[in-house]
Amino acid sequence: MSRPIRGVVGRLDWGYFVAGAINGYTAQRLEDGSWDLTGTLVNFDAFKIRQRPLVFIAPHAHGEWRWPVKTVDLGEGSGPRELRATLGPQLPEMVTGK
Amino acid sequence: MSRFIGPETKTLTLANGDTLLVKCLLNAAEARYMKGVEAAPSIAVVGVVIAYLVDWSLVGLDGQLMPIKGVSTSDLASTLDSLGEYEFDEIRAAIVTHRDAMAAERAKKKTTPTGEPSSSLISSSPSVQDSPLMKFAHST
Repeated sequence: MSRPIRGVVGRLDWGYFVAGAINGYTAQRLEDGSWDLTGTLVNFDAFKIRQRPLVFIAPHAHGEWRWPVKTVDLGEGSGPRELRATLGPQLPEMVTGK
Repeated sequence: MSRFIGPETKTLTLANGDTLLVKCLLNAAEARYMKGVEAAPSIAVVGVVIAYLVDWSLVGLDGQLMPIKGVSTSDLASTLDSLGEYEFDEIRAAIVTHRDAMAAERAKKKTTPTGEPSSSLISSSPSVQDSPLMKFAHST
């Protein structure tokens, strides 16, 4: 199994809308090419996060890594919560050129 | 037709080939923000640009792409303020033209096939005297 990707800042986008903000995540590639995502959802838009398609964005120094979201489990309760999601194969990387 | 606004976008092309990625329609929150900015005379002209602009292909003075996707409104405002006067006016004009075209298209979709408005804003309701509750009260 490949090494997981761990980061602090992530987000879930619905088109150009930010549907959710993530603080702390781990993305693990699975054998079938999909990815397992866990993290802490610190803020989200209740309407937008239920729309599809969502994209998981992991910013990095030179751009963003991106994955399509297949399923999302928001957990229970209010406030920051555990997020579990399955992601599709990684999308083309967005490079900002910085 | 849903009453909700999705993240549909459209690409506008400027005279020199630069492109603007703009929202097709604003949701209620975005429209309120734009009207709030437009209420301030000194910055009114910026409101529609900030509200509609998603991204663009403009490059900075170093020739590198100047990304604006996802930046805060204050950062976007600062970036717009650094454009040349003509360049800003051209961008704003393109977005205003797009906004007006989308509004006309949306208004057209709301009409029935015969061209008449689909319904009045307020539907008529039965009078209070005809209410079943009133009939029950009078029967006791």
